Amino acid sequence: MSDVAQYTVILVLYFAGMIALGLWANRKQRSRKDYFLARGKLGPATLGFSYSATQMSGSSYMGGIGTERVLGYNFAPAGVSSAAAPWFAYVLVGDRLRRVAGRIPCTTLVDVLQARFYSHTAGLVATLIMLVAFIPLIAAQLKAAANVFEVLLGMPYLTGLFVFGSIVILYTVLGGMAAVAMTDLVQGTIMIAGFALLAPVAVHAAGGFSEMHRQYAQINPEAISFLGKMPALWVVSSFLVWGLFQIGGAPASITRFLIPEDDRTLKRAMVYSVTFSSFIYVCATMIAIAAGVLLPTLEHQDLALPTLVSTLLPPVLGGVIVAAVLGATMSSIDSILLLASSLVVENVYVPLSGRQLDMKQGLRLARRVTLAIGVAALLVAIKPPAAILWIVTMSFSLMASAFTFPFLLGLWWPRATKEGGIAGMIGGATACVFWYLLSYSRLGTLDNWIGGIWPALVGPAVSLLLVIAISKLTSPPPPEVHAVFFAPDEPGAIEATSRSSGRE
Amino acid sequence: MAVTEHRAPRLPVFSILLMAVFLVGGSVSLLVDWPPGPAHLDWGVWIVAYGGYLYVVAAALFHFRTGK
Repeated sequence: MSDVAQYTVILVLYFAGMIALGLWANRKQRSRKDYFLARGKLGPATLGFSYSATQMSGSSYMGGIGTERVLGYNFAPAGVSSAAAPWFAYVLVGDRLRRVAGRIPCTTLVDVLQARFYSHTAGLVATLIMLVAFIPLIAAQLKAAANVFEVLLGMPYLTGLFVFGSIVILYTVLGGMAAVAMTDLVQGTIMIAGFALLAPVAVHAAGGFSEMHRQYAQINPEAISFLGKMPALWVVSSFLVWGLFQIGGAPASITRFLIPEDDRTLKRAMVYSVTFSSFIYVCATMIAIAAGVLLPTLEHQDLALPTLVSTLLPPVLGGVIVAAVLGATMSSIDSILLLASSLVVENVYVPLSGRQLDMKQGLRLARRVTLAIGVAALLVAIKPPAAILWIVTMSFSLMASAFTFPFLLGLWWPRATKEGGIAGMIGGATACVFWYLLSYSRLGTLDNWIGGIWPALVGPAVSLLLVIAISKLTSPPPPEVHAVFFAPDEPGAIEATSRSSGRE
Repeated sequence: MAVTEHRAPRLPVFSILLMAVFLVGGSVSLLVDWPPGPAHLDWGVWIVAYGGYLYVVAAALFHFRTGK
């Protein structure tokens, strides 16, 4: 059997498994809340793997390894910080969101922001920013997958795009959150198996751990330590940004905090997430350095991983790695797709149309919107964007700037007001875009910024100042908002006030 | 019901302290000129780019066990 045939057999089996999971989850859906959230129905392992698999995406594999091959240890702190992201998010907002989800009827993070900032305007601003950021994110992930098909199967870009895109859209439409989380668990397990296989093989092929670094230092001397290739502030910013600011920058992952009903499930999920992410990122660093030694002249940096796989491994084992990469990509697309459709249904269609949907109508609408957004994203990806990682970075920066501090202060600071929250979201997003444009006008690139300072650091700083200053200058939130967000657990007392928490 | 009846919830202070050490200590470590260490890497790379993962896993386990 030829190499291509072997890859194809493994991928067909893998895709068939994902669709079977979608069909299985399809039988469990009763309402659109089941479809979008599956509250209380997922265990800690599923939840933890789903959080991290969603966070990592195709960019961590294709773009991240490609970039680290070139930037070496200048880029490694971003990996450590990314592994810490679930720790930051679970500790700082996880339990607070879980409690709120038990008190108010919420399906999306926008529901939480809208209730906390007691304003439909806050909900609309958040929805708009998320939808703008999601379009390039989905397109970048689809591009990553189609690139894998190109390199390993020799499949034309468009064919790979439509085969892959159709499968992800199909199982997301069929199964909703339950299917997404279950497939994330399977995909996460495959990612661990794939990287546990590739990392030692790649390091061995590069001469062993010590010899690999000796050679890498000769080929790329500025990248063997933290400083040299990139400005010091760029390296420090990347370390600061990818951990803490995932609170705002990764809403598809953070949505997982609305699912568990008890604290213990949430905390166990955190341990799964952090361990899983740490393993993947430490392996990714070693694979990237090995790629720097083994593929020193490769021009297209996003193709480092698939090229390494096809060079080092027999197709049967390579197929596992490919499944892992596609798994990472799929787990991000399905989660973002589901979040985007839940925003359109729950935060745009239902409130604006004023229609009351019964359970069947709601579920049917949710599936149709998921399908429509999926098809739209597929069409956007026909003309592929440039380097994957920087598209993901821009979307991430925009959301991190808009949401990190409105979320944090909204959940921990009773004095935060709707004016402060809305100003924080708009001001943070605007500052981020302004910093990108200003840097581009001075440096002519979107992947380095004035002084090396990341837009995802500038935007949140502006947002933080605005939330605090404007909240101090405006009237405190009404008591019913405090009762939902800051009262001790007294369910009877909360229910009566929660219904009015979304008022203007 | 008066606004002041509901106070800010209790922060997980010890974990926040560990986060501050991670962010500040990590950032400073990136700027230090470290001496050479094993395997042609300097000690900074060993501490942050490899030891950082152990720190994060240990901190997550600490929060899981104590809730602090």
